[in-house]
Amino acid sequence: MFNSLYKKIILLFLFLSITLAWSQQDINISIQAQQGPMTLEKNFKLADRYPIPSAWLLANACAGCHGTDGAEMDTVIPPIAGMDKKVFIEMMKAYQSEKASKSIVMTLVAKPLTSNEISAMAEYFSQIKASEWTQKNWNKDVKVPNWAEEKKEAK
Amino acid sequence: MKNLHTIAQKPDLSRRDSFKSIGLFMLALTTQGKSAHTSEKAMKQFRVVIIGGGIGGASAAKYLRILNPHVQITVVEPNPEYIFCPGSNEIFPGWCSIKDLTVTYNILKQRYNTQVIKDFAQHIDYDRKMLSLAKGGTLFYDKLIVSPGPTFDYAGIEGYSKDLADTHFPAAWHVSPQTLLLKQQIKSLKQGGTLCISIPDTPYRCPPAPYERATFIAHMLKKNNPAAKVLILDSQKDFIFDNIYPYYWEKHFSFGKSDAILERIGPEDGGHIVKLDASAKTLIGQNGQKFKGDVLNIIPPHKAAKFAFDNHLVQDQWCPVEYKDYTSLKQKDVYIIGDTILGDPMPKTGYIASNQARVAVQAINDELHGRSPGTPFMVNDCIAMVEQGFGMTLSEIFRYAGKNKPLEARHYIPGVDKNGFQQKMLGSEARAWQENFKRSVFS
Repeated sequence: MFNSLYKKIILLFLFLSITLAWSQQDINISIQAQQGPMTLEKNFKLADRYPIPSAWLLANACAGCHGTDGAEMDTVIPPIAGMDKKVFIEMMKAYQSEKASKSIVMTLVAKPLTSNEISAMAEYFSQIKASEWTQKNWNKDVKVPNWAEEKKEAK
Repeated sequence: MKNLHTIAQKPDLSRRDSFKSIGLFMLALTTQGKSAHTSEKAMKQFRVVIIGGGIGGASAAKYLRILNPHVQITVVEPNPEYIFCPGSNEIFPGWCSIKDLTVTYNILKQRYNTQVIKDFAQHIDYDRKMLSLAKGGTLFYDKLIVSPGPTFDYAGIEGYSKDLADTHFPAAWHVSPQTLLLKQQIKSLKQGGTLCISIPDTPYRCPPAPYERATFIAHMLKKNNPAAKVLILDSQKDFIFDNIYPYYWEKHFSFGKSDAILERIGPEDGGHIVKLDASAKTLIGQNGQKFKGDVLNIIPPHKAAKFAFDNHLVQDQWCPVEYKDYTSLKQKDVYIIGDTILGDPMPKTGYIASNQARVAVQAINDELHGRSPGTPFMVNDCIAMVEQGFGMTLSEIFRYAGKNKPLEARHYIPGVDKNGFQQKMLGSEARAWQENFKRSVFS
């Protein structure tokens, strides 16, 4: 009994210190953020004025970072293909409310999305199979033009 | 708050075009009822021709095939490979090679069943819906997607020319032999010499890239030629990431002090370059200010592709389009995407071009299925490297604001934290982003 309470206290302490460390990040800012010219409110107003874009278009606007249909298995930028609907929505809401960090990429990306847009994306990604889009050796046969032959330098 | 990438916009159709539109509208009225959904057999006969195999054109081919397994897709591209522009400033410090940035068209051909023709597109016959190629071939189309990129207007700087850029004063604004010429010049810059980078008025391709290049070069000089100097000659008063770059430059290059490795001259001090005196290796600003350099990297102003001018797709300097589906405001059944369109307030980036491609091909596919095009959705996300281990990020959204209106933009650039943890993380994300972005278009 005492043992489990003790554990809980340690866990709570750990949780608090991590949270504090994160919020410390945002207090410790030497350069302020820039945003505009359209306000967030106007962004939402415009989004509501027209029919919601197709789920395919919404989801593949993420392709530039997460790959086609969100199915690029990168270690730094994680895949979204096959993600559970609820988890996707919870994560996007957490990003929007800056629960993670103000300067993490997804915080900025999530901010201007409407709840309907987030739900449509969640639905789309949950139906995509979580297998890598890019095939192995996809660009192994690449040849550079003659003028571009140069030796790769040491970093 | 300032707009990031603004230029003036004057949309109007010529009178002749209006008559044409009325005619087409009447035609549409009479035919609309019967063709709600194109049959599979008819779709197999449906020809989409794409001009240009860069990020815009390749994205159009790939994502149209993903949407529609039947239509015929042909890309016309003169080069046998594509070399990515995003990330290409890293060629200078040697953080990546040209090979790292090169992709082939094999995946487009094999996986996405696209015909890729190695030739230059030359002339469009809009009445016969026929495209002539430089080697003499012709292609008929039902829909034409035009994605030729911008033209670098060397003559926009008096005394400058493509010849001079190829031999003495490289622009190196896409990966070409000029890139390697500039790299060579940076390496052989005399001790204590000056390297000038001149930045044109917006819009030009990839707004933060000149500052990125200046920063990478300053790093190279700091190591091997610390008395040398990078001089940015800037046509713009405000610039993108101008909350972060000056902060970084102060920390690393004594920016703003007399011994600075990197200096920036804004338009208020003559940084808007209008003329080159080639024999004196001198750049001349709007009010006659002179800047002498040992190496001159002159980024010329941009305008729409020559191909677009030749084929009557341009108004003033750029191609006007309807932002709902990227159809040309000047010609029927033509979609124009990428750096050659007006686009304002969208900046000219590959990320934008690939999103424009998806909006356009979705509209084409919708029409084939008897649907009107939906609301477009445009974002521009960028994770950029200031140096290895110091990244920064920008996210922009562009909302549809009605027919014949420009999109409305909102951007967000987070600040910098004191301990540099976020910047370190973004630094590695920048590398991952480049690779994933390349795959999103070509794999």
